[in-house]
Amino acid sequence: MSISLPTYTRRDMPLLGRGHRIRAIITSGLRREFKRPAAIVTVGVGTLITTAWSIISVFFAPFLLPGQPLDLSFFYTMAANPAILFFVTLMASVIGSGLIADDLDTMALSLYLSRPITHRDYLIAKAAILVPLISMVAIFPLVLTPFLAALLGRFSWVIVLQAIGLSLVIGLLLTAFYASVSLFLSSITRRKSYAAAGVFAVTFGLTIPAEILSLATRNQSLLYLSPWEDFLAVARAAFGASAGPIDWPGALAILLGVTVLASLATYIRMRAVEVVSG
Amino acid sequence: MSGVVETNGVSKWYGEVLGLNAFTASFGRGITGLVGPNGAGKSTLFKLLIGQLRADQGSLRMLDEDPWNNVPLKRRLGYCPEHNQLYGWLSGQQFVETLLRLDGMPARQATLAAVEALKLVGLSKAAHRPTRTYSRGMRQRAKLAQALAHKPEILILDEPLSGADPLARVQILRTISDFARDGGHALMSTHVLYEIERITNNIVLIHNGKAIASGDIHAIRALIDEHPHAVRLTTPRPRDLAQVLAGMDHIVAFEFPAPDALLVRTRKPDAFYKELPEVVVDGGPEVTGLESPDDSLDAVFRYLVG
Amino acid sequence: MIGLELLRVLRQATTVTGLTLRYLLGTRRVIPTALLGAVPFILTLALAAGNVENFDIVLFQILLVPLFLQVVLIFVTLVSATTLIREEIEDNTLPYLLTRPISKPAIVSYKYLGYLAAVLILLIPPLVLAYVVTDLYAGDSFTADLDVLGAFIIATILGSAAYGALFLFLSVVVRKPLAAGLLFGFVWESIVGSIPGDVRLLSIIHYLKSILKDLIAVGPVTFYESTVSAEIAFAVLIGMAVAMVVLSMVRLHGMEFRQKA
Repeated sequence: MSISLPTYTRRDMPLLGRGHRIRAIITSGLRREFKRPAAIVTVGVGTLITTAWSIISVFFAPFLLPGQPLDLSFFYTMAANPAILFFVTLMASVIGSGLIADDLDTMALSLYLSRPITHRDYLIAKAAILVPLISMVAIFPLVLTPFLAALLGRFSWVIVLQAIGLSLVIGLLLTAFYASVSLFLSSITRRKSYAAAGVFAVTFGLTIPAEILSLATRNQSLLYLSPWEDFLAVARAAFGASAGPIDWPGALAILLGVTVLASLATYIRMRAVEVVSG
Repeated sequence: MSGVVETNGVSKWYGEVLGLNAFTASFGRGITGLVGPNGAGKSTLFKLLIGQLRADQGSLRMLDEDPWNNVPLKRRLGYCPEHNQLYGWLSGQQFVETLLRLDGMPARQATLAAVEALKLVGLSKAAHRPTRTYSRGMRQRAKLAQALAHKPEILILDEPLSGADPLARVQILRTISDFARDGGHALMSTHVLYEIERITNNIVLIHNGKAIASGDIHAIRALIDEHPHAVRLTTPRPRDLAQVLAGMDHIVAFEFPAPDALLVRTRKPDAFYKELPEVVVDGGPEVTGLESPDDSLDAVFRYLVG
Repeated sequence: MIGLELLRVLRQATTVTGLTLRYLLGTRRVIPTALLGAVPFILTLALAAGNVENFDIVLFQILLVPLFLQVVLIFVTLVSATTLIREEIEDNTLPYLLTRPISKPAIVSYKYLGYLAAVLILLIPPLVLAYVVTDLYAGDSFTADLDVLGAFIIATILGSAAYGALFLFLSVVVRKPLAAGLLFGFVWESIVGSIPGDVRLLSIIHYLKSILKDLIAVGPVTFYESTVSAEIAFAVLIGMAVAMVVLSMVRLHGMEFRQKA
């Protein structure tokens, strides 16, 4: 009796480029987020409220914002909407806090890193999941509103295009800040609830005391401690609104500095992490 | 009620998924193995027994009591869960001691009992290390230590061999055997069939949430009439031997797996073992080896579940 | 016989309370909560080091109400109370307690006691130190403003009890108690004061401020608008804490636990 075995040949599979691998992580991450009711509700409600408020402000400007001239500085009031602060914080905590923490907790990180994926690719992909979602609240309303205002003839296209450009820039600044901070917090714990609490702590835990202290001690430079006040200072300068309590160069330096430091710290932290089996 | 654990028509739903399906079985004294494939309902049954879940239908009694919210019963019970999580910030000694104090033991007694339990499972050397530094096998042993330390009457062990290295397995099995020898009862679920066979003949087979067989492994095997027993004979003349044995009416089939082997399938293994020596002595072909690859838990498992 | 039973209950209570205390204060998680708890002390040190001109017991009150009561207290109680049961469920360590001869309601109540002890250890000493720094800087004697210190200590104790009980209850009924607690603590508690009418009777912070208003002799907190006396506020907060703990006990008593895979 003779036995013949099938001949075995190694299947030659070309390795797709980095872009493909990063896109794969982004796609699976976004798919996961959009299956979570909390994420859907947060994104949906946040986008709706901030956009609706901005549009209503345009329509009813004379009643809601009496005395506000209808020039570029008008769009500062859109950017200064406290709902943006609230929903950006909420999204960073609901979505951003679990992006890395969940992978640490479930040890899915070991699966990612056993693939030809560098730590940098992993972090870029995670940021690319979070940034579009935060920008739905931080950028989308600020860009849509001037556009609609121009369509309705409330503002000239020159002003509107300037407003759109500036909204993109400052919205990106706020998005980058919160994305980097929430990813950093997510990378230092395997419990995403702690990271979420940390995001709230960074926002409200700095903003409220800074404002109170500044008022109580009559020292406005304390407002530099508040990320929201820093953002407002930059937005004021960008849209040409009247000067505020703090100057925009320092505020911008703080926002950018924290963004860069948090990103760097996250990268260093991820390089150092060991996934220990439980 | 004669069994240590009696279940009658117990059903448990997880939403639309049926975890246990009218499960009826009796677990006797000593060690009983609960054997079944993944998702069969073993862990669900154990969680019902320790009072972590409540049966949706049917009745469940352990040591003649309903386990749901039954605080006094917990004194008589030791539980070794399937998962590996412990209180990571406590040392092994502190972990066992704390749980003993929850049994109401005074501090000094708890310390001594913890030391003894950890020694029993071979964790004395690592007793003062935080449990988060323990390997998987050490965690298994720590779990077993906390289950045994208060000298329970009954041990519920959910996959106690899972993740344990060969040395740890031997130690764990020996500990369970000693516990049963000293009068305790143990219910143990496992996939490692040959190892449960080493310590007990009593099993309950579970599949799709139902008890499909319970009792002695060999008795169950004997009852599976549609699957005749296989007996492998080593002989230099297998075909001649087959010709001689063909006269036995309980033999169903012959196979020739090797040039010097004859595989006999018989419905009545007892009768076959009785008649075979007579055939050989009466001038039949020489038989140099005999084994039953069939009389095992693995075979029973495959026949009933596969 | 009763004596033995009482002894057993006492052992169990001290064991669970001790385990909770050890977890909340003896592991790495204490670092962020201790830092948060130390904020009043760090703040007063910073003000003193910065030679802030008008830093005195009045500024102490102005700062500590929004900062300590409305941020620090909520955060520390939230992060501590929500771990009591929910983290044990998520970490699969609850079966070790459930298979002991101790009832689920007893587990809840002992854990709550452990939480209360831990949180007060984290919050009260820095508060006292902050007061000492303030009076030292302002050149006042330590006994000059004891009413302020006493009021804040009482508010801290009652706030810890009330918030902790509420967050404990949330952690038993909801799978994501931290999110729910953040929304309550930072949204509801912040905006409720601006809603006209008696809606603020549904907030904890209103009763805490009412207590401060009644107990402090002189200071900005005395201008807080409230029709609730300190006694009533005390009773409401204690009643609420007891009710929430009892509800948690009742809920846990009937709960089943499906372990995480």
